[in-house]
Amino acid sequence: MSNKKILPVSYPMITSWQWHATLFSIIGDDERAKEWIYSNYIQLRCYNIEEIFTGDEMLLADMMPGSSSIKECPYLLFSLMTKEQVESYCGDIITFIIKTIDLGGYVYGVFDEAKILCDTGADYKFPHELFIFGYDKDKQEFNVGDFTFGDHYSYTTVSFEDVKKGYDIITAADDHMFKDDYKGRRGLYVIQKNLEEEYYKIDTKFIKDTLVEYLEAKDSKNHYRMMRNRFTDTVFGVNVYDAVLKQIGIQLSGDDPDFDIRALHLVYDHKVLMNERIKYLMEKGILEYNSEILDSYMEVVNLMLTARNLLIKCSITGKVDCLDRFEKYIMGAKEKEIAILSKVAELL
Amino acid sequence: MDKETLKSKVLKVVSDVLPEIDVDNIDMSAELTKKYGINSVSVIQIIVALEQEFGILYEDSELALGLYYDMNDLVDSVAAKVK
Repeated sequence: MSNKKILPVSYPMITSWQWHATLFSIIGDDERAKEWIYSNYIQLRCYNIEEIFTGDEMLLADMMPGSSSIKECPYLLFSLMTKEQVESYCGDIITFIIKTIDLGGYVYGVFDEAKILCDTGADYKFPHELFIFGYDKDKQEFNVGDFTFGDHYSYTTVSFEDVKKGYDIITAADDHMFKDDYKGRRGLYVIQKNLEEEYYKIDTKFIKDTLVEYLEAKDSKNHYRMMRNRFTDTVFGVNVYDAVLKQIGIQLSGDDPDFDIRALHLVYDHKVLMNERIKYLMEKGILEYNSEILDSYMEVVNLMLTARNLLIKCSITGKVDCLDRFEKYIMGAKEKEIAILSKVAELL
Repeated sequence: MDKETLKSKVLKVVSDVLPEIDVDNIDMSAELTKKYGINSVSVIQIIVALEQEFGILYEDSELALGLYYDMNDLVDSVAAKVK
C-alpha cells in the first residue's frame, strides 16, 4: 500500500456552504452528475437562526437541496459512521480516515478547527465541517478542503495530529452536522462516487416546475414532507432578494456593523449556477440557443457579484453609507432575473 | 507620473497588502490567481489600498477579480484613473 493517496477533486463552481463545496469538489465536473445538478439547486430559501459561534441572529440562505444533498444525490454513495463505529472498526480516527481514503471514500465531518489552526491549544472551540480527500504518511498530513484556512474556499494540508485533536475534542453537543437529525450522537460521513451507472436524467419538467415556484416565491418544503416535516424556512424564491437586502440594512446599521457575507454570497452562487444551467440546457438542445437570454442573465450575475464585492469593500473600509447602492444592485438583479427566467420557463 | 514610476508605486501597494509576493522579481504577465494566489477578497484589499495611495475611486463594478488577469491590468487600471 502506498504511503500517499489523494482522491480526485476539482475546485467547485459554487462554494457558499461547505456541503455544496464538498459535493461539487467530488462530482461537479462529471457529465452524468451534471444531469442531476442542473435539475436541482433552482429554488432558494432563507430564515433567521442564531449563529452557532456568536449567538447573533443571522440570515441563513441556501439553495434546495441544501446540506442533505450529500445524503440524497444519486451520484454519491453516502455512509454514516458514528464515533463508536469509527473506534470499534479502526481504533482511532487517523487509521479510519486513511482506510476510508484507500477504499475511495472521502471523509466529511465536524472538527474543532480552532485546535487545527492553533496547535498551541486554543481556549475556545470552532466546530466546523472539514472535507478530507487525501493523506501522506511520510509527511503525516491529510489533504483537506475548507473555508477556514484562508479568506475563501481552499484546499490545503493539515497534520494527522491536529486532525486527531480537532476530532477528539468535539462532543455530540458540538456536532451540528449530526445534531439536527441524530441528536446525542457524534460521527462522520463517508462519501464515495457512484458514477458507474446512469441514475438520473436531466428533468426538464422538474426544472420548469421549480423555476415557476422560484419565480412565484412559493413554499417548496411541502414536496419533502414524506422525509422531513420540521421546517423553519419562511422566505422562498425571488423573495430571498428582499430578505437579503433587509438583512444587509440591519447588519450595516448600528454602532458595530456586521459584514457577514454568507447570504449575499449564496445568492451570487445561485446566479452563477443558474447561468451555467441555462448554457447547459442550450448546449443540449433542451432550450433553444438565445444569445439575448445569455447576455441578459450575465448582467444578473454581474449585479450580484457587484453587490457581494461591495460588502467585502465595506468590511475593509468600514464605510457603510451605501445601502442605496445595495438596493440598486440587488433589486436590479431581481427584476431582471424575473423577466429572463419567466421567458426560460415559458420556452421549456 | 510616468508609467515606470506608477508601476513601482502600484507594486509597492501590492507588496504592502500581500507581503508574501516578491515584487522585486514579479512577472507582470503572470496570472494573478494562479501565480500569486490573489483571490476575490485580496484583490479588493489591493484596490482599496490603491484608492488611498492614488486618491482615486473604483466603481463598484470594477471590484471583480475577473477584470484583472495580471499585474499589468492592475497598473493600467490605476493609469486610466490618475490621468
